Amino acid sequence: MSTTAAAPPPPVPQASPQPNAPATTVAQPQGALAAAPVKKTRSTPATLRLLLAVSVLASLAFGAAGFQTGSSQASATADASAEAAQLIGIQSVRNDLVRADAIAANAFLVGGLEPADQRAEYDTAIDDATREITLLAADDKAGDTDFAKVNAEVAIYTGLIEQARANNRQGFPVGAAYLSQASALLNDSTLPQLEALVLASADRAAGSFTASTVSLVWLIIALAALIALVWVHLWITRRSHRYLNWPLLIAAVAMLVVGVVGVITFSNTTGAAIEARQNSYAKTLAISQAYTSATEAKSLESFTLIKRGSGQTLEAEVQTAIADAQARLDSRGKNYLIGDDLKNGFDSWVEKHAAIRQLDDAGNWDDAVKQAISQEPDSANAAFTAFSTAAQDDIASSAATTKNALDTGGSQSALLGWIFLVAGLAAAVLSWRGVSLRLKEYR
Amino acid sequence: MSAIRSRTARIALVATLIGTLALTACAPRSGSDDLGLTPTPTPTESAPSTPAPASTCTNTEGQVQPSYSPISPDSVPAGSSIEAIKNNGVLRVGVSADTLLMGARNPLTGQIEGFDIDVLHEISRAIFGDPNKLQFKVITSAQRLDVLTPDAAGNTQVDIVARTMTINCARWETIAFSTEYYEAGQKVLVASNSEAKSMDDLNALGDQKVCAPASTTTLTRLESYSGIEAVSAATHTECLVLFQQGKVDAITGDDTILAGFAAQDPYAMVVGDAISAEPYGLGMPADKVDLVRFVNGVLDRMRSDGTWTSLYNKWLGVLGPAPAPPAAVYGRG
Repeated sequence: MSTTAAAPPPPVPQASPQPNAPATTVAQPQGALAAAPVKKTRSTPATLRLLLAVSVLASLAFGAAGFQTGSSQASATADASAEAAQLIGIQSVRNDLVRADAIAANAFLVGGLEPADQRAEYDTAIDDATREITLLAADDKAGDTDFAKVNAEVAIYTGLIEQARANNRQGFPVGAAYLSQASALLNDSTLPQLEALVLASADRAAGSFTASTVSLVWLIIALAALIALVWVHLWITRRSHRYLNWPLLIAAVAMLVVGVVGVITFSNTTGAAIEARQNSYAKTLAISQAYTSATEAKSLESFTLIKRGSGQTLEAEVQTAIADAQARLDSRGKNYLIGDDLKNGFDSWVEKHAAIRQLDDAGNWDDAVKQAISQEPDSANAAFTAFSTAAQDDIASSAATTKNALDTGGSQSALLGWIFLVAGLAAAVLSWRGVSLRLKEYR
Repeated sequence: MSAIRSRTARIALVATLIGTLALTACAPRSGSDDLGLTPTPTPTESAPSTPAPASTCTNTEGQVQPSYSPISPDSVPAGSSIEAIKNNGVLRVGVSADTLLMGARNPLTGQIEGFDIDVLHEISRAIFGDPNKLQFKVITSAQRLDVLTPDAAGNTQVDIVARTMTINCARWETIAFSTEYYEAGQKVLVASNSEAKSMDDLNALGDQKVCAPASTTTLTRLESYSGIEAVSAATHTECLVLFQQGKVDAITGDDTILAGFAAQDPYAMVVGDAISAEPYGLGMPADKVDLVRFVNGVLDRMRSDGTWTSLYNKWLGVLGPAPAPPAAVYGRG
């Protein structure tokens, strides 16, 4: 039994020039054969059969090229959109962790009894971070195991902070050492890993952005197909002395219309992606990074105070972070506009920070701490919270703009891809019909 | 004719279409371009501060390096560096904020307190008539000499360092010391279930990790034990963290510091006899001889009027009944 199953299939009979035979396999050998003998000897029906194959193939190629372009552009923009969201997500995890660390350090300045609202804020930050890490890991395209590592380190970090708290509450100075060990773990290991993930994600987003700029191969194929159809039409009208071959003509016009719409849509999507990348995406990244630097500066402020008088070396890092945030919030010469409110909001915290440092440097540590931990409406904490809320809102809105631009462009391209496919198939049927009509006259 | 025209038209169309697409294309940008990251040169490790050249002087065991003879602490001499401090309004002091009992920040009050701190309060009282004219600078063990070393303008970061600092001749080469204000001894802290009852026991057990802060006389002494792996940390308290995390088997340090650790950790105990005598002195800039004399005067008064004993009982009573205050050794002029 198995022998019959394994037996080679009977050879497919070489498709002889039958008018109704499927055009695909026939075309190539026929064309190649026809090229060798003298041109004049070819009969009109034979040529017509060749033209039939050419026009059907051209129509199918037109549809396939357009479909492929549309769907690849749609998937590139979808990837860029997803990766941009992923990137913002990783940065927000980073910001949440730095914020949690800042709150823990700030609470330590207060004393053994941690204010309940600060504790709640710390819990929220850690909660947000861990939740986000899980989501990011699930959405991650690169399959990075780094998210698992980050997650594990966050668990160790929170453990150390709890030990710091427990000791601090009993009045044991070892609490401060646990706090600084937790902070060191975060700064020396966890944050660099997140930064690497941000960069990897930005690279993937950049790749997808670049891929959304479609190659022009499709256009060449589409033009060639159109020219082929028009040429077939011209040949037939010249031979048959009929001016119009309606099916062929409709096919050509349909291809022309869809092709023009294709050019417009594909370049629109490409343009939208480029525009988004230089505008809303760039703005999102700029604010998000500024926010990261700002959070870092805010967190370091507490550590400069814990050092009590020995905070100058850390203050240099604070200034670097502040300068970075200010540079990123300055949208002069950029394609996007960052509102003055956001800049001013940050600057007002910077002023309050300077006042705190001035007090500490002048030896007035107690007042410096009092200002640093105050939650009054005109305090440094309040100024930072206002900036933080505004920055997060701006990040969310410009990220939404990016996503919207990319998703709209992508779905248009995808739709057009399908239209190309349908147009190509329809043109194939029409051109088969158009050439067949002439072919029948020779029977 | 029409064929040619339409061909030209077609070519024109192609050119237009290609042009449209080509215009929108742009040079590829990388992820770090989008992030606006500038390639930063890999930060060069800042060269660790070169340790002070090994001193050629030797300490005689049981003998404290002499200090300058005292002056009366009752009045501030005119034109002295003490008067400059008084005019400044504050006495700038370098202290520890995490050495329980000696100098530690009380998390409940936020104040730095301890035996070292109370000695400083006495000096403040002598200069200003107010014990609280202190401006604290929290420093690590490794910073103790740096903050007393004059910068290019001849200024130091603090006036006095009171941070469990042992008087020895190598340090006398860069700074000046008061007379001894406390005699500590180096001991070892182990887990309460440890078999080791002394440094020698640990050494005999072999393969023991013992923690001590960087740039301390204690760390140097550890190197003479072959069975012990010295682990350094920035501060004593970070040693306690490592100990509680099981990363080191023991901590060595002055009994005062270890007593503070035992008070924070019921599973730790201080064992053995002191393996060395650690005479604590207040550090001051080498050129402020008048300040050293004044401080020595304050210390002498504390020894004689019972202040020293009451401070001992307040902070270090856990170590046992108050001994006689360490005797002042003069002889440096």
